[in-house]
Amino acid sequence: MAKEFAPRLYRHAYRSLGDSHLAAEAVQETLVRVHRSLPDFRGECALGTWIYRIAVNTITSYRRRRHNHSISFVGTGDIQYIIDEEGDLEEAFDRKLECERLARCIAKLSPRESAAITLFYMDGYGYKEIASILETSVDCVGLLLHRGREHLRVLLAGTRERGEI
Amino acid sequence: MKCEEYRRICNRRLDERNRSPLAAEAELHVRDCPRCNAYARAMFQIDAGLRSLPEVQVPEEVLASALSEGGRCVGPGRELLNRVGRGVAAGFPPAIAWSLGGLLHSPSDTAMQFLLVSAAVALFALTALRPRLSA
Repeated sequence: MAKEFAPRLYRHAYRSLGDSHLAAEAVQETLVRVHRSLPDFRGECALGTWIYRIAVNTITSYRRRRHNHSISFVGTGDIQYIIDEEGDLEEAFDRKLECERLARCIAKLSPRESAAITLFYMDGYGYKEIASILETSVDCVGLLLHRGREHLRVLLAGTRERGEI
Repeated sequence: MKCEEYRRICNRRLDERNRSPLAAEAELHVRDCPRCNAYARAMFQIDAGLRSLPEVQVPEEVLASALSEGGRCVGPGRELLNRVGRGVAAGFPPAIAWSLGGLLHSPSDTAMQFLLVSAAVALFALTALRPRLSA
């Protein structure tokens, strides 16, 4: 189970926290919490949904702890990916910059917005599963995604204006 | 409809897996209203950006560390032992109470005592194994 979920949870945690060390810690803590709570799992939802619910709660507590922690995205994989895709170095650099900005902005969203955006775009979950993971209604998930994108727009505009990465 | 409504429609459409085209009325409005047009473009760009973010590379050492911690904790053997342990702890007090109560109030007939002790053992075993059976 740990083998199956650890990479997925790490990717989710990394996008939400913006820090590889914190993401790794969050994954470990999630797995320990899963182990401890396993006897209480009654199969009311899918195992993956239940594990993600624990992960989202763990990541939320990490985000609170991370107050003002600098966000450092290690982007070597990103650069290679973009160069492979585009071939043009200048354009690749611009896209890389936008990717970095966007990734940083996701980590600056509110915990629930960040969770909804990450679950929808990176983990490929639909409204129903996200609602189950976040223990909210399907309508609320739509609202979280809507607000998340709007906040990303504002955050991105701000970072572009300030010339920040 | 107000601009806010049209923006909500645009946003909702971004969440559809198989996107249907905007209704004619909404499309006309978004095309003609400069603010809604700028909003729709910005939202579309963010949506496209989010969809095209490269997959995060999972560092091997991170994965190994997570697996060593998590794997050690979530191993099936240890989980089974924990369940049985919890079951024994939960089943022990009622079984003792049952057998003591039975022995105190039963006639001194050996067969009856044997029956009561057997029932207590069976109750203990059932209670102890219940979590394991329901898992």
